[in-house]
Amino acid sequence: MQDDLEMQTVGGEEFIAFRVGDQEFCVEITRTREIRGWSQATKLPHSPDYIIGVINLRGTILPIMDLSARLGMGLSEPCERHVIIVVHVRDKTLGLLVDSVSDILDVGPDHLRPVPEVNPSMSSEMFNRVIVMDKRIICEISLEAITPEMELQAA
Amino acid sequence: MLKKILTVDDSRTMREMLRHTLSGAGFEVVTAEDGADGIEKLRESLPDVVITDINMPVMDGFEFIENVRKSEEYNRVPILVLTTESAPEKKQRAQSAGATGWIVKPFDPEKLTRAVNRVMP
Amino acid sequence: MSLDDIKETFFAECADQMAELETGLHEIQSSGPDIDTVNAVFRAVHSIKGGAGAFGFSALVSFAHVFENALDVIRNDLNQVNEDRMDLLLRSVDVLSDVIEAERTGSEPDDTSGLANELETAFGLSEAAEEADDEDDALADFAPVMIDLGDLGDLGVPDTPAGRRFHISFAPHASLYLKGHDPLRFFRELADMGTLFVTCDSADLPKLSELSPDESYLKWQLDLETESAREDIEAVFDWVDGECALSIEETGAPAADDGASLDAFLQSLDETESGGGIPDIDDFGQDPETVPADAGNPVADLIGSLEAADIAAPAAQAEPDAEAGNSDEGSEDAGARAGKKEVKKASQTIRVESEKVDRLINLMGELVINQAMLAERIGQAGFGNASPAALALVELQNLTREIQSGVMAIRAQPVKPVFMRMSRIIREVCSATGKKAMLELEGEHTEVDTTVIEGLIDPLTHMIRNAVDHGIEDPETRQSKGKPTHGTVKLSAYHSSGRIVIEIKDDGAGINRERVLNKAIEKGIVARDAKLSDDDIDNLIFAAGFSTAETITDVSGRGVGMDVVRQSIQALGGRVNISSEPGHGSLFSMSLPLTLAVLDGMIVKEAGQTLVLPVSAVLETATLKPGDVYTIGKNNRVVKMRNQLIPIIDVGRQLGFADKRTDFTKGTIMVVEGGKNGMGAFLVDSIEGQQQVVIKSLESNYKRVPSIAAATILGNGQIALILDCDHIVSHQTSDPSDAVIQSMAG
Repeated sequence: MQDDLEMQTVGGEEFIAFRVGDQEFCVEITRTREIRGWSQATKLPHSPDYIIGVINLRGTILPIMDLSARLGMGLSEPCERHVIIVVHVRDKTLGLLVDSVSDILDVGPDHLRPVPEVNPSMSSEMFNRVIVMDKRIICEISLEAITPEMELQAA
Repeated sequence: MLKKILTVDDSRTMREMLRHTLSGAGFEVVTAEDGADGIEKLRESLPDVVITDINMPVMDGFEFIENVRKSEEYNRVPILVLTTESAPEKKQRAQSAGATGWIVKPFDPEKLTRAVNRVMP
Repeated sequence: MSLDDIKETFFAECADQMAELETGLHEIQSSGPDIDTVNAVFRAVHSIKGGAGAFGFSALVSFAHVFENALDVIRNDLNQVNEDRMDLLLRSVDVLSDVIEAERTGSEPDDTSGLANELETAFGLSEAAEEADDEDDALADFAPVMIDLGDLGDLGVPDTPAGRRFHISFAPHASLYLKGHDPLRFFRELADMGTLFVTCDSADLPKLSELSPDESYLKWQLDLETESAREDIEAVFDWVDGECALSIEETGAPAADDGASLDAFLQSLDETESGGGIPDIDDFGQDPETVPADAGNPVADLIGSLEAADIAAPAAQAEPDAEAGNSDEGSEDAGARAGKKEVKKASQTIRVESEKVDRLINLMGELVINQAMLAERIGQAGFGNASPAALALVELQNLTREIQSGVMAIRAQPVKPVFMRMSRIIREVCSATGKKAMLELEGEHTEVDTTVIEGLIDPLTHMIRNAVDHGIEDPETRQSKGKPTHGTVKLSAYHSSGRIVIEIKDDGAGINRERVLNKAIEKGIVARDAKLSDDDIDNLIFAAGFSTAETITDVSGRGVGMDVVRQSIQALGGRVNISSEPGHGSLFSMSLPLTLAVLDGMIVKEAGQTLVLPVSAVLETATLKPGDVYTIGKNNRVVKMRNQLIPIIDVGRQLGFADKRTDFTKGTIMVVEGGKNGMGAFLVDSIEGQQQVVIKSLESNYKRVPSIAAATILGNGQIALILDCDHIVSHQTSDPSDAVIQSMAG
């Protein structure tokens, strides 16, 4: 897998690529805090189905989002196979449940494209850009777009 | 060895301004926040010159100066009075209490340093 | 520390001083003036003025100056206080605060001349202010610094002939030395102005045996060749006016060798030159053997004589000048003198950055969690309760609990500053509405954690505004009702069962129930035919979407209704309700936790989840027995306890963790109070225990979840949700027969 990667070292942006279902997605590495294995989450009452619950991240309460569910690809059944990518959104920290991490990519500007207008499988508002390299199409997830409700504070 | 100045003023801002100006002029600065604290700090640090405000809680400037002048060991330390009150009776009062000199607020750093140097032993 | 840092300090200090000012004037207003309070208030404005001057905030300086003078009038004569003047002073506090804020943000301060004029007129300041200005100008010339020739302007003589000569005769009194002066310093200054020749006249110096430490014996004759003017020379002796006999005369051309130049004898210590008037060492009455080796050196003797002058006035007891000061009973001293009465020892305090304390508290929280984990492991490892390990653990837990109390106490603050802020709010509302009201405080020293205090400010502000705007009647109406024209808003705080209770009581008109009910019906908040008690109607003001403000004024609301207020209080883990007596007034009552950091919690298991309830909310627990449960209406189950029928709350179902419970024959009931005097019987699977838990916010990384107050991390590392009992009890059901249930008793 690593072999067919083309790495441009100058002027590139770094992304962490991961798998959800049979697709690959990525987020900017600067937004990523850490990667951890799965742990049992505590359910939150009256929460959307893509919020699995919260886990204890060294003393902080970390909400875990089922990315597959959020992207409309079906509910996951969280277990040890899964990986949690801890990301930073606005001033909060969030965990994304994914199947596995595939790569760290250094991507030059010519491999970054805007999101195509029409995308039949999922809502394109959830993505920022698309990486196109070696026949791989990796959509960059917009963290702000997948977490609009977290901006709302009651009262 | 650096010359040492004790500044006595209940205003935090003023203490910091004085420290800023005086240490910039090469003096070591000790601070106190009222007359009583001033007496203690005087004993501990034995400064070369004292600068004091008049209006302070617990013990005001006049009483502070009088107490210093009554003491045994350091009664002749030069004491400058720093005050916004420039009325002549106040100066007279300061002088009677035993002040060596006075500086009217707001001061500019040069004025302050010159006044200090005038009385620095 | 840069000037910008000091500027920040200044504004921080201004905030402190304003608080002092507010508190002090409030006291004077309610209990009359006393010299200590007036002094404190004077000093507060004085400090602000002093700092403002240093930074060149001229608008602030000039207003503070007038304010200070007004306070000085009272400082000199406490009888000068009257109601009109107090009003002016209180208004001045607000204006001063505004000017400070303008200077702080760098915006243009409002024109204060109107109020300044009112102050001057009311306190008779105009003349004094002008005088002071004149003094300032006149005294500028007496500034104790050397004046350059260039500065003298018309006083200077541009074409001064090079080299003027002055003869100065200088005879210090004893008092000069006692004030820390040293003649050598004056000579240094003069020498800097040109060429100085010094002659010491020790004619009056007695034999050593007759030497008195308190007397001054030495005199000097000085000749100065300089280009400076006479005023400059006078300025050198500026500070010792009256402490010496001084004469300064301009003389003719310089003569060659009058005495010895200061430079000369400092340089020529080894030369044996004779100067005039230098005393013979024998005149000191000393034993020749004790005299230093170069005793015969007259120059050394001269230096010696100067040093002897030092010895001649050593530390002494008597200082006639200081005594003169003591007997001075002048009114300008009254203030300064009386300041010392405050010497009741102020308790030692230190300033600590709140971040440091916050960190400490967080660490304490982690310690508590870790300790719980340790307890768990020790239990699992099979150590019995009486084993040394277990006992050691108990010790540890006790110690930790103590440290935790101590640490929490550090952050605990009295509510007073927040209460005092309300003083200004009341003034603002009064001036906007034309009503008159006074603030009364009780229990303002009650302490609560900083986190709670910060959260209190907004809700309190709105409730106070509400009380004055809607509660207190205008002065004429009040008078016609036989009430005093000034309404009273009483703000009180006290501790009760591990919480802090804050009450706002006004003596206004109370809630207009008819209007409130109509409005609620209009807005669809209640059904037209709903049966509501008086209390229920009163508390409708907290309903979402409710607002009785006829005019959307800046006063009560700015678009914020009482529903938002209730929510903010609930977000703090508190509850609030109102009760009212028409014609007599209303009472807002708030209950808040003492801290947002830790909680004494009951750990329960329900629907496979571990949950926490605040111990303070739990009234009673019991095992459910089948015979206790009754069904009312279609689906409402109640349990008979405490001589009441209390609605059962299926916690698992309420939180969405489980389907509707079918088995009501087993489990544990916890009678929980919440909402407005409401109660619920929480049905859970089992109670696991009770322990102190650290409160972790859900909102910091997620958002507010209804029914959940916060979360905590248990000893096993697992997260347990902390229930928001208020919310659960209030929202248990919207079934209209609920009201029937609530009112059933026995």
